[in-house]
Amino acid sequence: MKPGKKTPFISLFFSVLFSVSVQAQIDKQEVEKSIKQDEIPSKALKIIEEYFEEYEDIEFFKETDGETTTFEVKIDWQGYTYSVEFDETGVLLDIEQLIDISEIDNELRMAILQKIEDQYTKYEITRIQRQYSDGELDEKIEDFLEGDFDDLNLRYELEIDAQNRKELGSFELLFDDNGTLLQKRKIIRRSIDNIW
Amino acid sequence: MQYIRYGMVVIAILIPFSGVSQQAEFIWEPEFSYSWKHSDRLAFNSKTTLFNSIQNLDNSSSIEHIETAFSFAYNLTVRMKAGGGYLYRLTTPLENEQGYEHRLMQQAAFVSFIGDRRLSHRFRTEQRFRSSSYVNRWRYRLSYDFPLEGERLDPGEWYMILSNELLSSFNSDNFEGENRINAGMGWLFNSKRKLEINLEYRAQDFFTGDALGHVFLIATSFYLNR
Repeated sequence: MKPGKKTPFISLFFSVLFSVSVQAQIDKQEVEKSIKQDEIPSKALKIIEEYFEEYEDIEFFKETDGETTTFEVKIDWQGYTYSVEFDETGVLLDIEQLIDISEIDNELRMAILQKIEDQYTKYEITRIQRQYSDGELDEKIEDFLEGDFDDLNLRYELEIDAQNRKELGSFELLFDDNGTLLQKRKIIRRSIDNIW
Repeated sequence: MQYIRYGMVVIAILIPFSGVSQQAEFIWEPEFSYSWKHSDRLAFNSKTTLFNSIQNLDNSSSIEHIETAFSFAYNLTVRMKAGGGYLYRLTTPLENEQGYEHRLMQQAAFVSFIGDRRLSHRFRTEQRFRSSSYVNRWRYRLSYDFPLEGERLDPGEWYMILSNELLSSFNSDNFEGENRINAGMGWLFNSKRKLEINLEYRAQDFFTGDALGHVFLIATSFYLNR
């Protein structure tokens, strides 16, 4: 075959590839980026230094959705991983503590598990966070960190892998401290076509 | 920039293998992959791949083969899937003498998620009906990909992918082994489109008694999913 005959063959392949690539507009929505400590508002840093002395590890993140910007600090402290969120001026918005299912009070734990079992035939809990995001967070953060939850309106966010006859997937479930399901969201994972 | 540093890591991983480059074959492998979900459990994929010999880009043997594949995947659980497919390969399509291969594939994968970091084990068996012979092949691949800017991979961000695959081919006459080590970077346009550039080193012909074969491959893959 003459060398010239390969041109249309290769062109066809790349024209298909290129036409699809051109359509691939960058679709920026919520974006989270790892940042350095000095990029965090000083007010936020002060709160972290005040309440989390002698932490084991710390990471800083900035999240923006195009309109609002928040900062998140992830801290390993006294055996737990905490996630503390601030607005762009450094005002404390919420705090989350990564826990095990056994750390939820027995009655509440049974209520939560019953709600899950009502919906799914098989499930596995992959992550649990205890959340606190009251307006008085600045004053109550110490109670939260000391495990004094009596006067706090807590929420529990569970991530589960679950299935029933209709659904299969990972889900995020938000419960209040009475075991009421407040919100359910399917976690959309990115395609695994490159590692399958 | 952080992703430039990671790019250097990719190159550094493959530098130890460059000592064999004088006897090696160099391949550029562009690939287009299209996937679509039928339901939570069932998904399909089709892909087309070209293997271009970089050493022969100026003549008609530049395209060593072109292949197209169709496969399905059934989610047994959130993390485990099984499936199979068919692949057709045309060898040296621009030469007068051409070869072909019909390939049947069966595979299973287990994926662990650590946030947006993913570790995947893939087992695959293949039956390769070539124009000249029949070969079985067993493969095991360990892949790991992770975002480079933060804990979550957002649109418009880079990620890194590392993998290693062991392959064993055999029929009644021959038995040979191969290892493929791969390091690359990907760019996520959005949840439906991504582009990957991978550098791969293949060490071939283990167990045959002959000298090892060396292949260096640059893969540029575009993934589209619906």
